[in-house]
Amino acid sequence: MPSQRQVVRYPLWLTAGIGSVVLLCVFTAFQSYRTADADARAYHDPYMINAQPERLRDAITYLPANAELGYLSDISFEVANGSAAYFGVMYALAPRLVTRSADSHEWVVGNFSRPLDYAAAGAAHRLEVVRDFGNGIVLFRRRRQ
Amino acid sequence: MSIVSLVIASLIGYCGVRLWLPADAGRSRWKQALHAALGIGLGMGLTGCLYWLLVVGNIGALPVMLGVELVMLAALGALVLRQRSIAAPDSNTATAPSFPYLLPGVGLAIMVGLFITAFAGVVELNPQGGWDAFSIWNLRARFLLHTATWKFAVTPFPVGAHMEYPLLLSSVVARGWTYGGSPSPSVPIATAFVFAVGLVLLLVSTLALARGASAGLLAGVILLASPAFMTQAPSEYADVPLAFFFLAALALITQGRTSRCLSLAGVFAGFAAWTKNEGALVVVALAAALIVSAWRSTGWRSATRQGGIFLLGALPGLLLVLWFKVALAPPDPLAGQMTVGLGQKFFDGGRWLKVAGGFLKQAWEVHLLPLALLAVTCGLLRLRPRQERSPVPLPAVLLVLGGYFAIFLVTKDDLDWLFATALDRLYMHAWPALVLAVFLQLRRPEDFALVSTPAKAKKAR
Repeated sequence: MPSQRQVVRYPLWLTAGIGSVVLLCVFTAFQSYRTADADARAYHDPYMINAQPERLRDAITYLPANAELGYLSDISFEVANGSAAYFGVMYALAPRLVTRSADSHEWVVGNFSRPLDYAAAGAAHRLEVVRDFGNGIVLFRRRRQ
Repeated sequence: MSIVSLVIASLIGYCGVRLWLPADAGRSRWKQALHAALGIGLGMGLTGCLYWLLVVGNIGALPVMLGVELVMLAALGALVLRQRSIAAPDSNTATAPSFPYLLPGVGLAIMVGLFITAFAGVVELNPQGGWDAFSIWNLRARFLLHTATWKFAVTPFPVGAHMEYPLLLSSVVARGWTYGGSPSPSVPIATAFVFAVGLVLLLVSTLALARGASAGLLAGVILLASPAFMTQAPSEYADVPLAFFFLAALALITQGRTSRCLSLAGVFAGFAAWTKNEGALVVVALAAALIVSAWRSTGWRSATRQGGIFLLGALPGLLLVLWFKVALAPPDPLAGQMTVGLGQKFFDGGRWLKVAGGFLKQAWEVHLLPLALLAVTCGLLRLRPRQERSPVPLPAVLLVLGGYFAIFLVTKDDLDWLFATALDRLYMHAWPALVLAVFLQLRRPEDFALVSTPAKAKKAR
């Protein structure tokens, strides 16, 4: 270990090299920051997940907290919008479980992208409309045998 | 209250780390920082596992959880205070002359500032996180909020939410929501932030202790130069926590091959397995690298001992995963599809080329600049003598990446879709560990010091 009387210096190439690496890293991070910020602004809640709790607020009052529900929609799960709509409803209704089938549970939540004959859509799965909330959300219940 | 949950978890973890690791007298600031970073991960992992067990045991109410955690914190805190009072004071205050770390220090401060600004901006606009956050991790956390609904988090119904994935992150988030009383977005956001900042602190402090402050700070700067870090942390996925646990296990293995360090490294590896399926590969890679390195340096007996201690530490996490996979979770589709046409895929040269091309393309597009900067740093600092190099980290990282490559080879999923949606996150698991591994192979800036004696001193003599 050098004593107090010794002077410690570092080669210029090392100091300059490390300085350059640091500056380039800061530059890269700044670019990443700009990209992340631009992406977040361009894709602000792209699947409208934040809007779903408000959209489903009235429907929730009909459903027990530990209910298992079915799901009926006019958008296929195979397209991204359909999956996003489903997960939006599922996330807003959780801890209730929303399965992808409209045929296996007593209660079924309908999530529609446009007005249509909801009664007919439900009847195809032996469901009757309990309430149409007027915002594309419809609550169905299975018909008694 | 939800922030209180993070504070309690971190304090429990910090006390746990202080008690677990050797109580040496020299407690530098970097050692405190390392203990704090490890404590964040240990606390999150322990309290997340505890919450899961309480919920599954039908006693997951706030009073029970709070009571258990406060008793645990009081007991650990008392033991730490007792340890402090009997520890000898630090007598080794003299320090070697260090490379001026103002530049990497300022650089790191700027980059942490940029990261925090970007993180805050992204979560303000998208508090629900990315797709997997609201469709997997946070969704399942909501199911874990009640003892009556936790089984929905492992439902066999085909809901498309990967109910076979492990549950550490979801348990941590659900625990925070239970403290807060409502499923506020602030909890997954705060969890993601704490893991990300903890990861940076962990890397910097580990290397500062092992290779000096300037090397640690420089490594932190290079870690944050990865664009993936800035975009993935606010997505609220499990990938940054997994990267944290991988790095924590490696950091402890490099601290020393003592029983305490190895067992705690095993605990973190167990947490990795309970965080994501890929964590099981992390356990295997770490164990293999550790055992082979010990076998080559000190023989089979030592290798068996070290590997055994490491795996003993990982055992609780692994048993939790095993119980979850065997008794609770629906079958993993990946496990089933791997055996379909295995030989055909494995001996298909075109598939090898396609997977290799996808891995290289992703590395080129996302990680080119950080990798180039890491390479420049290698050129500047140069390799340490072979006998001084740390033998475990680099093979462990390469084994993990090799494992991912093999999974891509045999999967039945569309490769282009996997390259586009999964590969950058898989690279994220390995990136902090790779930075640590590379810096442990390099000389310190201090090794290039030019020491001279001033003429004045010579004359006085």
